[in-house]
Amino acid sequence: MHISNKKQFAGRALKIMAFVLLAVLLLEGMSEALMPRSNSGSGGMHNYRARGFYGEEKDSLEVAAIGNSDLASGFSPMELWKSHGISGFACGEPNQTIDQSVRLLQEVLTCQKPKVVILETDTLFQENIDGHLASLVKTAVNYLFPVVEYHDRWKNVTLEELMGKQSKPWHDPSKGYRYSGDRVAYKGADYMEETGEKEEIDAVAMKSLDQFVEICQKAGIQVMLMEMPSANSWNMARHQAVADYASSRNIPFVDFNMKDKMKETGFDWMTDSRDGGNHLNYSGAGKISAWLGDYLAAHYQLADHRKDQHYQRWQQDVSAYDRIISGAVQQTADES
Amino acid sequence: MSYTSYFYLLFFLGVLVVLYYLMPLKKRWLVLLGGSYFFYWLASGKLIVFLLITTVTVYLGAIAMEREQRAFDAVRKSLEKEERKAKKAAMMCRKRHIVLAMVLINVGLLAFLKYYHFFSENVNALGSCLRLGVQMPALKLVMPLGISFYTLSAVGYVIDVYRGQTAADHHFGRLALFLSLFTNITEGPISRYGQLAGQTFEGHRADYRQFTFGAQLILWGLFQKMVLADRAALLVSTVFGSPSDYSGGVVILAMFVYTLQIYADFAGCMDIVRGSGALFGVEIARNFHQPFFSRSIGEFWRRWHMTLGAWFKDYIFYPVTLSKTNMKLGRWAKKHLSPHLGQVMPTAFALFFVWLANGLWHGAAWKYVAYGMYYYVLTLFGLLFKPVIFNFYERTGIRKDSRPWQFFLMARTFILVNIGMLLFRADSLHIFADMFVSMFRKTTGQWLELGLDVHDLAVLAAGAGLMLAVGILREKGICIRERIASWPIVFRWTVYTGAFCAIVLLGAYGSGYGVVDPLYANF
Amino acid sequence: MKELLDILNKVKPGVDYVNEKHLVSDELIDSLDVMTIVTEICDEFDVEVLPTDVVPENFESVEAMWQLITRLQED
Repeated sequence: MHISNKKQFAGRALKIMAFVLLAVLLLEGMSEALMPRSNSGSGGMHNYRARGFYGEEKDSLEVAAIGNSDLASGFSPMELWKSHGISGFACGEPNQTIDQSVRLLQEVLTCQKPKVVILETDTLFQENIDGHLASLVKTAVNYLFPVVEYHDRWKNVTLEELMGKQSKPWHDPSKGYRYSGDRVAYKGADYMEETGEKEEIDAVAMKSLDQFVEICQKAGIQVMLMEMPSANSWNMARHQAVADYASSRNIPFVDFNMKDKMKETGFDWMTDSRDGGNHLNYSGAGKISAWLGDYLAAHYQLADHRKDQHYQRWQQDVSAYDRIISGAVQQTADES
Repeated sequence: MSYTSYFYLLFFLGVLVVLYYLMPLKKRWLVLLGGSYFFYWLASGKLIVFLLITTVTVYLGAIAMEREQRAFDAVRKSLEKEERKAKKAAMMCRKRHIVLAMVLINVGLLAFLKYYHFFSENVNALGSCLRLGVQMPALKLVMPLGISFYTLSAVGYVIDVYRGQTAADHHFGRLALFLSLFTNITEGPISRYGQLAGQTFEGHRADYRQFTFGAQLILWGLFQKMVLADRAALLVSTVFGSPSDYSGGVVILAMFVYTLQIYADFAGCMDIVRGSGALFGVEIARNFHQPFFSRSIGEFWRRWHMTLGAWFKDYIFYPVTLSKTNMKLGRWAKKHLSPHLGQVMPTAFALFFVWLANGLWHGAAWKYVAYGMYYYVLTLFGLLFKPVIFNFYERTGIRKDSRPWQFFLMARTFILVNIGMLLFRADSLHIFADMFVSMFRKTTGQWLELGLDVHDLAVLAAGAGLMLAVGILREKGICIRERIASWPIVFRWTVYTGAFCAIVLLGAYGSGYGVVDPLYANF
Repeated sequence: MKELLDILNKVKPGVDYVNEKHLVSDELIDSLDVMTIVTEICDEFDVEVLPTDVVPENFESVEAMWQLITRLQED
């Protein structure tokens, strides 16, 4: 490129860089101003249900499960508490993509040091309209500049929030589990028929998966892959893909859709789904969580905190949780 | 690839700009060509073959016509008058055949892909009425990106060569770039060879002012599209989505808001497109000239989607009006009807085809035909009643260029245009009629439950006001970017960063908003 | 010349065709008017106007139009 006036060129280049820098600073500023101050629904946080862990004591969770709505409907950490005293949390965002799983894991690690992290593998195959790469870019931009995700809060951000007031975080007695007493049976075909095919995991998704595993390994966390019973999003081809990945990395993979697991858990599509094959209801969640509780207690060094002084709040949570699953109260998102 | 996506704005434009200015001057057009074909491939994949067919046929056709002309010109001097006339007639005849073939192939391709479904539906309906056993098969046809736009550019080029207004382009790459330029391919403007081909092919030196002006224009376009158009879309889709639930003031509001949406969307995208071109030193034709300041329907279509109107004028209106058939029609009318009608007839006849084409170009449905005919009838009124209108001005003494009268004319045109927009957006002709009638009834529907809360409505109102202010300044001939550029740096940068923040904060994107495709993108 | 002025006044009365020299650029006549004028010219003067002749320059003033007509008559 031919530059005729070096001084002018330098001046202009500097101007452009300064402008870009200013834009970045403004993005930062707007992000600071508009970020939700609490993890509750009314505080404006998106997908607050997956972020109830902000309301737990620091470093108190031993098990964290990350995934989509199938996870939130199928895994009830309080069942693990009641049977084995394991402190766990279900972080399930609807339609979560694998890059969002990574992001959520990073959020969990800012305030928790779990011994075991479970990834629900549906997110590997979750592709939103623009594809995996666009999703990755979007998540990255939202992470760098939360204003992009929360820009709408200009409508309801209060003066106090702008002044820096922080709200008390929302505490979820159900630990991320979404209760449902509905029952709609799945009566369809056997979706786990052996086809001999293997679905390719998208390259970008694979990168995110590797990143997820690496983060866990670096932090000394044991990672586990799991797939909830799901008639609408799972099949043998996907199972094969994940199973191969898991065995190549020596990561345990529990697929509740497999016939042997169905027998072990006693899972029944006639009684255990709330919407005909997509999400589980409380009956299903109970069976899965019971099996998981036994499995985790047997394979990992997890403490029983039921008599632990520091976990007194969990005892109170048990009563609140019991009221929810008996149908006595509705789940809400703003209790402290 | 959407012009408002991260991918386009940050990655595609960014990479292309860097590559362009790194390349040696003479090779810079290759970057634009590569980028354009890559852009096209991402959008339409294998359908790129249609773009290539159009490019190749038009390239060959133009050269063939030029060859005919050159062959004649070489021998004309040496011929006797009679022989010269004969040879010229034969040559013109051959040229005409070539240009007709070009037009038929390319417009035919467009017509087939775009209108087969509409055509076969109607033929089948007619067929079952008349109980003919045969039915046209239903074909699943997909339209390649921008076919309605590049076809017109290509046909315009080949007709220009036929008329001798342009020399045939012997450089295939230059012609291919002209037809595929990524800034124009999605929504136009419908560019003319003479205006665009040369300057996209020439390499341009980096021009700081043009570059920064381009970036600013992109910002303004993004503001219009993301803050105003995409926000307006929420209200519009609520009301037009269940029109029977609303009446009175709500429908009137939805109509006006739709006009705002379509203008902010289309003009906003055009600004992004023109700004993108400016980054490479390419000047892309304007498509809008403050259309709502028009005082007549005719003027409106010279200020709205300008390149489409100009194309129809040059390639349909003029040739049809000047055709022998049309002249004969005029003479017949003068003899058998009246001198006034005789005068009006040729123009009226040609205009019918222009408006039919305009309506159909916008879509393959009866609603769009009605849209075209709506403006045809309005234009016809103006033509037929010209002497009456002239008498009116004489009798009342109203001066046409007085401020209040001009304002009245603008308001009248604005209302007529809005009614046209109501027709354009309604799901069908029938629903348009229902909605139009419902405007005169009592209002049903809650103002704050139309998809926008009070904050959103405030943003829309403020934004519309801003666009009006910009329009007024532009009508006065003020180039706003230049004015701002003359301010001290603190003020300029406040404006630019203000626009940037407004787009980030107020843009109608993200969770809670749907994706709004640019309204003119599926043509 | 006189016939031409007659035509112009019939098509679009109220414009000072004798003195105005920027009929098209000052928007005193629009493209519809131009086409009507052209069809009348074709009839009256028995010439053939091509689309390429319909450019603003040829219609800015009576003189310009007269020049166009004489040129076409010679061809």
